[in-house]
Amino acid sequence: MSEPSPTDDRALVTAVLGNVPGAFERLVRDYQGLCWHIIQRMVRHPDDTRELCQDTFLRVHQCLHQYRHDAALKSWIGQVAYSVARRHLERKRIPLAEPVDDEGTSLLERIGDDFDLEASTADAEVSRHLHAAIEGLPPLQRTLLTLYHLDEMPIGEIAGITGLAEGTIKSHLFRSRKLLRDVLAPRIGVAA
Amino acid sequence: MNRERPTPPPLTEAEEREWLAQERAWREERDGAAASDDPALAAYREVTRALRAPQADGLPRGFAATMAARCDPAAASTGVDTRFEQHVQRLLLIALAVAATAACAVYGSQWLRATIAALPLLASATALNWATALGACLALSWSLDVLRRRTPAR
Repeated sequence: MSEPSPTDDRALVTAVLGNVPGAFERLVRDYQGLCWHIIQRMVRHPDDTRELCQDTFLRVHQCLHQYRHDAALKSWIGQVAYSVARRHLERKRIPLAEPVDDEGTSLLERIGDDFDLEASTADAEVSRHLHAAIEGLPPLQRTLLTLYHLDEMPIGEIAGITGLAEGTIKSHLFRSRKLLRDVLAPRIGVAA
Repeated sequence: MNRERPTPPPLTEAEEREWLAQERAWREERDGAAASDDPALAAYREVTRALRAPQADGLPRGFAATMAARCDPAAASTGVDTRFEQHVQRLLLIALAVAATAACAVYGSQWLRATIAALPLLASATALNWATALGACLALSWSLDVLRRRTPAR
């Protein structure tokens, strides 16, 4: 998706608020992928993700008049999706992030539970295990990695969505990527 | 619980250097650069490749149109069929107004006499009960409507 300019955002928001036919549908089409990424990474359950995506856009429709154009529309909608998913996790008492020690050992142990590198000979198998390791990360880390790598959002924009400090995001990204690399290390002969 | 967000410690100098290596791997992978001989960089590129793999989109086909219809029925109902329906509805309303005017002109005096004759009955207890019941029905219907509007659609 090409990056919409602030002028595009303004025009789209004005059209939606003016009930221009097709405007809200276009807004949903433009940002449904982003919402899916955020919510799916947070909650992982497909049915819950679909329902929460609907809740997100209902909320966007109800509150769009409160959007002040002080951030990109993409960030504002991402923020709504993130808060909807976070509230869902809170209701289900699922921790958003787990305490991370300096080495990230608790995460590594948990990720490694289902990981048999001896049996992983083919590249596809390594990739499958790497994906399983990503899925094993806590919701916050999974979401930050997805926004940074898949949606190619700068750290500043991710900070706007999650409400976290940029340094915290950078630190989470660093440690999560290091952790994932450590999962691979024994196979490709890198010192962990 | 979730409000207590664990904050990881800031990066040390050595970690900052490794961060730069991660970022280099991310850029090289994104730009499709040739494979690296450096095993550490190769590992980070493998991680980046997995992180950039597209996720299966589980949204139903026509999700945007469905959401638009749910959020904004007025904007969604702009098809040719609806315009035709609106036209017919307008004609029917005009016909109804003409018929009502004609009926009032023909039967108006009889209705007026019958209404005046029935006025003393309204003072009875039975009439008061019926009026209360009617008021309660209207209030209930209005309250349910208000409640429905305030509850977000699911």
